[in-house]
Amino acid sequence: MKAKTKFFDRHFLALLLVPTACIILLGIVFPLLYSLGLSLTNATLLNFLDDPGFIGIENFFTVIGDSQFANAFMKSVTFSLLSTGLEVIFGFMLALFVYSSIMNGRFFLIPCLLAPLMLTPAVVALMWKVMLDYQFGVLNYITESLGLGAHAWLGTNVLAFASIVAADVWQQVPFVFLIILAGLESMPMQPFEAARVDGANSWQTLRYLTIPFLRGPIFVAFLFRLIDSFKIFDKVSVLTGGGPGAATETLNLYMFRIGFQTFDFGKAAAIGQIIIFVIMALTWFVFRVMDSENAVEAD
Amino acid sequence: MSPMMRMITRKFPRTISKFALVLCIVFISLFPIAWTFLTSVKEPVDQFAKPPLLIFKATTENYHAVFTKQPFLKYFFDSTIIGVASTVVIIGFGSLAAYSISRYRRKGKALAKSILILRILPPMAIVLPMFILFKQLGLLDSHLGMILLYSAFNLPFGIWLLIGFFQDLPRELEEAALVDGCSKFQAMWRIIFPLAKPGLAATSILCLIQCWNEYLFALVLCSFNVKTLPIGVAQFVQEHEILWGQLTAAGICIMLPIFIFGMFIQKHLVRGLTTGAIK
Amino acid sequence: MTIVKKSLLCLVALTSLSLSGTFAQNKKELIIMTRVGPENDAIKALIPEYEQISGMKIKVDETGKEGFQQRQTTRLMAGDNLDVVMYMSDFGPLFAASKLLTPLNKYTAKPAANKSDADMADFYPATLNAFKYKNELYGLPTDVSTWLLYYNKKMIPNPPTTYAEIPELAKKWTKRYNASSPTSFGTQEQSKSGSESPVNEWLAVLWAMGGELFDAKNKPIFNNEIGIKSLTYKLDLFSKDHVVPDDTPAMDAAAVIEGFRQENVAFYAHWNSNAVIFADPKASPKVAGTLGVALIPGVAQKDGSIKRVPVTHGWAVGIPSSSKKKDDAFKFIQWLTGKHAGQKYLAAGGTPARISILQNPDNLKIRPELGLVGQSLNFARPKPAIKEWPQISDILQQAHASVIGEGKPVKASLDEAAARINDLMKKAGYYK
Repeated sequence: MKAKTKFFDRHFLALLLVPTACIILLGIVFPLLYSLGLSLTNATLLNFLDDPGFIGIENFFTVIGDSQFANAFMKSVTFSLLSTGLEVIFGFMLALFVYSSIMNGRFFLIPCLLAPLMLTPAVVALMWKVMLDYQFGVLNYITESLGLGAHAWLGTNVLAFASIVAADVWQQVPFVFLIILAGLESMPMQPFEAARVDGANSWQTLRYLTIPFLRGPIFVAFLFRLIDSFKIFDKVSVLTGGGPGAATETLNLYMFRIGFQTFDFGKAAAIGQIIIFVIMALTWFVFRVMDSENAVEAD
Repeated sequence: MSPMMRMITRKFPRTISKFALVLCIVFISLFPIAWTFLTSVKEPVDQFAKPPLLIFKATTENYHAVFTKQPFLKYFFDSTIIGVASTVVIIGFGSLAAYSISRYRRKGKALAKSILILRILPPMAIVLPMFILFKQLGLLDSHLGMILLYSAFNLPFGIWLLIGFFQDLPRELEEAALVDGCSKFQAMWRIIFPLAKPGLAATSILCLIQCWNEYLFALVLCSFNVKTLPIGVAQFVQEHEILWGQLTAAGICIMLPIFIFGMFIQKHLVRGLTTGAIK
Repeated sequence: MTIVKKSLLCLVALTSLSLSGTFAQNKKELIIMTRVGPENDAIKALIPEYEQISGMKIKVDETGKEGFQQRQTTRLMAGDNLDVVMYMSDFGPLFAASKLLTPLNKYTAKPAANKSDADMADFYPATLNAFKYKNELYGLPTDVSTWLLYYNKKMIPNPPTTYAEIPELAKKWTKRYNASSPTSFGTQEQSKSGSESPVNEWLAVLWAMGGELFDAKNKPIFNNEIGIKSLTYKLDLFSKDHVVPDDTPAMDAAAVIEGFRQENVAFYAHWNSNAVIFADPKASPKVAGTLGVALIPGVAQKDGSIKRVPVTHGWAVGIPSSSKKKDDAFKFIQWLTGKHAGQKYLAAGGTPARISILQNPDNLKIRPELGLVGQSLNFARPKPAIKEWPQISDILQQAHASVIGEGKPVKASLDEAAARINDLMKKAGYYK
C-alpha cells in the first residue's frame, strides 16, 4: 500500500498525462500517416479501389507549380494574419473594457457578447450572405439610407475579401474576448495593490502589470485563432464560393475543390500536407517570438 | 469597485458614454442574430422584402415546421449527450494534463507542442482516413465514437488554455499545502483548481461551443443513430431552394441551450469578492 | 469515490448506446442515400407503398446540399453500408469507371416481374446514356432536367426568343435605365465560383451559337471565335450592359430563385424544377399569378427558325458495389423508376425520365410546364458523358469565374482552360 502511494506520488505528474496521451495518439497517428501516404501516390477516384501508384513527391511539385495554389496560399496567409490580428486586438480591448466597467448587469452582458460564437457556422454564413446581398441585403439598405450608396459586398475582389474577414472577426472576437476576460479574472490582486500604493498610473499598470499577466491567455488566443483561421471553409464557401474569380479561394477551399470536385485525391492530400506544414511553420515562428520575449522577461 | 479596478477604469470616461459604448458593441454583436430571429418569425414573402421590414405580421409557423418536419428533439438529445460528455472528458483529462505540464516546465512544453498537431490537421484532409478508422473500430454512427473524436480534437485546445491559467498560479501555494501534509493530488484538487475557476469556466464553455457546432465529422461519420444539430440545420439548404424561415428558426433554437449554459457558467467566470487565496 | 463510479457508469451507458448502432444490418432492410429536396420528398412519399408490396424496410439517409458531395464520395470510397445511392449524371461515367457502382446489365437482362417497370426504351435516351459506361448500365434514371425561361407576364407579355434581343429587353426593366421599372434588373445569371451552374448557362449559349466544346478528335475548341463570342455575351450582360445584379459573381441558385420570386428581375433561365416553386402561391405569392414559362432563347438561323440548345442532365439510382443486398436493391430501384411509381413521383414533385409520363396529356393538368419540358428535351444536349467530365467542368468553372469575377480577358481565360483540358485529355489517353 505504501509502495503504491509512493509510486503514484513520484510519478504523479507523468500519470496525469496518460489518458490524454492515449486518446490523442489514436487521433493523430493513423490519419496523419494515411494522409501522408496518399499524398505520395497518384490516387484519384478512378484508381482508388485498385492500387494507386506510388509517385513519390511528384504531387508536391505539381501543386507548388500551379498558379492556383500560389493564389490560394496568398489568400490564406493574408486572411489568417489579418483576421487573427483584428480578432486579438478587438478581443483584448473588449475584455479590458468589460472587466473594468459595468459591474452590474453582467449577467446578460457576457452571454450576449458570446452569442456570435454560439450560432451554428452554417447559419452564420447564410445570414451574412443574406445581409450582404446586393438587392435585399439589409446592409445595403442601411448604407443607402445613409447616403453611402449600395455596393456589391460580395461581388468585387476587395469587398468580398473584406466581407469574409468581417464575418470571421464578428464571429470569433468573442472567442478571444472570453479567454482574455478569464485571464483578467485570474490575475492576483497583490501586485496591483502594491502598484497603487507606489502611485503608478493606469497606463503604467496596464503596460507593466496587466499585459505581462495576460501573456498566457493572449498567446493561446492568438495561436489558436491563427491555426483555426487556416481551416476556414463554411463561411467562404457560402458567401463567395472562393470568388469573385478566385479572389477568396483559401487553401482549404482549394483542397476541397481538388479533392471533391476533381477527385484527385493524391494531389488533395499533398495540399493537405502543405497546409499542415505552413501552419506548423507559422506556429513555430510564433513560439520563437514568445520564447524570446520570455527570455527577455527573465532577465 | 475595488481599488485595482478603479485604477484600470480611470482610462475610460464617464458612465454614460461607457454605457453608450457597451450598447454599441452589443448592437454589433447581436444585430445579425436579431436579424436571424426576425427572419424566423416572418412569413416567407416578408423575409426578403425590399425595403427590409421591421413591422410585419409575425408567425410561429417556421418554428412549428422545424419541430414537426424533422426530429429536432432527437438532434438536441444527440448534440447534448455528445457535447456535454466531450466537454467533461476535455476538462477532466485536460485539466490534469495541463496541471502536469504547467508544473513540469521543459519536458511538458515539448509534449504540449507536439499535441498541437491534432489541431493543425485540416478536417477535410483526414475525413477519409477517419471514416475508415471508425469503420474498422465499429464506431461509425455512434455516440461513443463522436465523443472520442471531439475529445481528441479539442483536448489540445483545452490543455493549452488551462496551461495558461495554471501557470499564473504560484507554486508556493502547493508547497505550502504539501508542508501542511496534503498529498500532491489533494494539493492540486483543493487549492489550485478552485483558484483556476475562471479559466475552467472559460474552457468549458468554449469546448462545449466547439463540440456543439462541429459539422464535417458529424456529417460524414454519422447517419441514422446519431444526428447532431448542425447536420439537422444544414438540411434546410435544399436542392433548389433554401428554406430560410425554418433555417433561421432552427438556428435560434440551437443557440438557446448554449446561451443558457453561458448565463449559468458566467458566475464562475467572474471572480467573487473573496480574493483572499493566500491563507 | 463516487465520481469514479459515476463516470464508469456513464461510460458503460454510452458504450451500450453506441453499440446499438453497430449491430449487423437487418436482413430485410435497404438503405438509400439521397439529397434533400423535392425529389427526396417525392421518394419518401413513395416508400410506404413499396414497403407494403415487398416486405422490405427502406431507410432514407438524407443529406443537405452543402455536404452531400463530400459525404457521398467518402462513403462510397470507403465501401460503407449503402444499398442504393442517388447520384447525378455528371458523375455517372466516373463513378462507374471507378468501380463504385454495380453493373446492372445482368439484372436488366432478366425478365422482370412487371413488364412496364422494365421498359428501358421508355427512358429518355440521352439521360439513360449518361448512366452507361462501356455499354454497361450502372444506374436507372429517376429524374430528367432541362432549362426553361421564366418570365413575369405583368411586365413581359411575350418572352424573348433570341439571345440578341435580351440586352435591350433587359434594359427596359433595369432601374439604371428606366427609373420607373418595378424590377431592379432585367435578368440575372449565376456566376458564383465553385458551382457548375454558370457552365450550364454558358454551354447553352455556346451550343446555340454553333460552337462546340470538342472537335471530332476530342481536342478542345471552345476557345475559338464562337467560344469567345458566347462567353463575351455572358460577360457583357454584367460588365457592359449592367442588366444583371451587381453582385452576380456571388449569385448561386438560391440567390437567383429568390431574385425572381421577389420580383427583382423580370425574366431569367433556370432548371425546369423551379416551375413548381414559382407556380405555388404560398411559396411565391408575388409571381405565382403572373408566371410565364417558355423555351429558353436561342440564336436565329438563316431559315427563320431558332436554334435552342438547353443543357439537360439527370439523376439516377444505382447500387454501390459494397452493398450486400444487390438483388433486393435492384428490385427496389426498378420499381422506383418504373411507370407506376414514376406517375406518383411526378405528382409529388419529381420529373421522371420516362417519355410516356412526360408526354401524357393528362399530366399537363398537374404540371403545366411539362409540355415545354418535353419539347425542350427534343433538342436539349447533355454534357459530355465521359469520366473526365468533373475535372473538365472544374476547369471551365475556373475560366468562367475569372472572366466574370476578376475581369480576366476572355480569350486568355479560354486559352488557358483549353490548354489545361488538352493536358488532361492527353493524360487520359484520348489522343492516340
